[in-house]
Amino acid sequence: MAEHDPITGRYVYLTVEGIKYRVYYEEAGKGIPFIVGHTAGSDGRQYRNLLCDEEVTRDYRVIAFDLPYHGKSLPPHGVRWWEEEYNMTKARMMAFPNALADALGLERPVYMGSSMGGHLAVDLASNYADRYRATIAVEGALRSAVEYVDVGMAGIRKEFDNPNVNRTSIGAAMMLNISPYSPEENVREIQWEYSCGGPGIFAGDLLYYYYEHNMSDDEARAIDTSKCMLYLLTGEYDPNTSPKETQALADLVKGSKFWPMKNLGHFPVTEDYTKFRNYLLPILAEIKATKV
Amino acid sequence: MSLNQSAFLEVARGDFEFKRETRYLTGVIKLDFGESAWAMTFEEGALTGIADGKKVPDTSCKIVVGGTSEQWDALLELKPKPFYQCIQSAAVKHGMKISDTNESFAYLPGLNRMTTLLRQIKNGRA
Repeated sequence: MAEHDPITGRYVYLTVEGIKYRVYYEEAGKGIPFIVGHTAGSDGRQYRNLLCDEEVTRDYRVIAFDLPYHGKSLPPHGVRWWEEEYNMTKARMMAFPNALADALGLERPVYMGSSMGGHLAVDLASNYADRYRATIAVEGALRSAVEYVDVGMAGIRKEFDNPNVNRTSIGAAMMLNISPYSPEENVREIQWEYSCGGPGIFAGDLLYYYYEHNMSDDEARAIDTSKCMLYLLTGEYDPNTSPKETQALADLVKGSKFWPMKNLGHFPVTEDYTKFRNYLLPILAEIKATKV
Repeated sequence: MSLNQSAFLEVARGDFEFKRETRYLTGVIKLDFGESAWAMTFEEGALTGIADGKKVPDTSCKIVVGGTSEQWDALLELKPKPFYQCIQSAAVKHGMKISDTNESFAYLPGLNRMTTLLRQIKNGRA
């Protein structure tokens, strides 16, 4: 008898900003729709342990999608994408989970994302509270840490989109985001995923992560957690969005809930899912118990 | 801070990952520990020796990593405090230095492995 994960994968066509994309997603479970979004330059494989967690999938239909140009979602046909530099904008970031929810007929899903997906969880709570019953920002904040923002896109491209440097180095660079307490085989898996990305895609994603996501205090104060609850989880070892940065956001969003995560870094879902789920499961139980 | 240079040479020359991730490198990686420095010379990926780095100007090195003795001590803990988990995060968050040459980025996997080996030597795990 063959051993399988309880995960199935399919392709769905999404039209965003007038372009038709063939988007890959994986899912497992039944119940409350739960979209999960990956980090910059990576893909939905980051959620493989979550997709196999029966304590999640008995109540939630978990859907992990690859943004176009990531993982198994190829660049779109009919567009001469190779003639322009890839960059991810805030509008496009928000449009993809919205389009996916519409295409799959998901009724007020939960959205959870990590890193740029974490920032997106904050932007969705602010801009699309009617569409989502709750969002969970993993490593989310008003903005990314200033030391990294100050590098600028030219510096980012010199490190991450440089013909003198192969993709192995992008995986290696992720060490800066990872807790020394994370099991080495998980660390190597994160680095493998980052070594697999398309040319210039990680750097282009960072346009959103470092610059297009930049929430003002007033916008944060206006987030209505009675419409869309905002949960915040941030790892102690994340230099890009440290617990201090997330706390600043939590202090502004009335009703939001924030837990710093000890001994975890910027990729807690993959770094050590056995630890991360201890923070996630109570949140999912609370969402399940909340009337929509 | 003191590190056993000959122990590092022996371990690095026998380490599969370090050798793989420094492949094709020709030139000098300088580690500046504050009061002392190493200049590690590579020829086509082979670590040929370590000289006194204080006599080698940064401009003649492909890669330079530097910090105070205290910063290196923090970096080389087996379970370092945030954000000493690697050279890059220690540079951005704690003021250590790493050059921004193409080689600094290209050989980052080798620098990570080097950090791991130095941690093992410093903590008697090699």
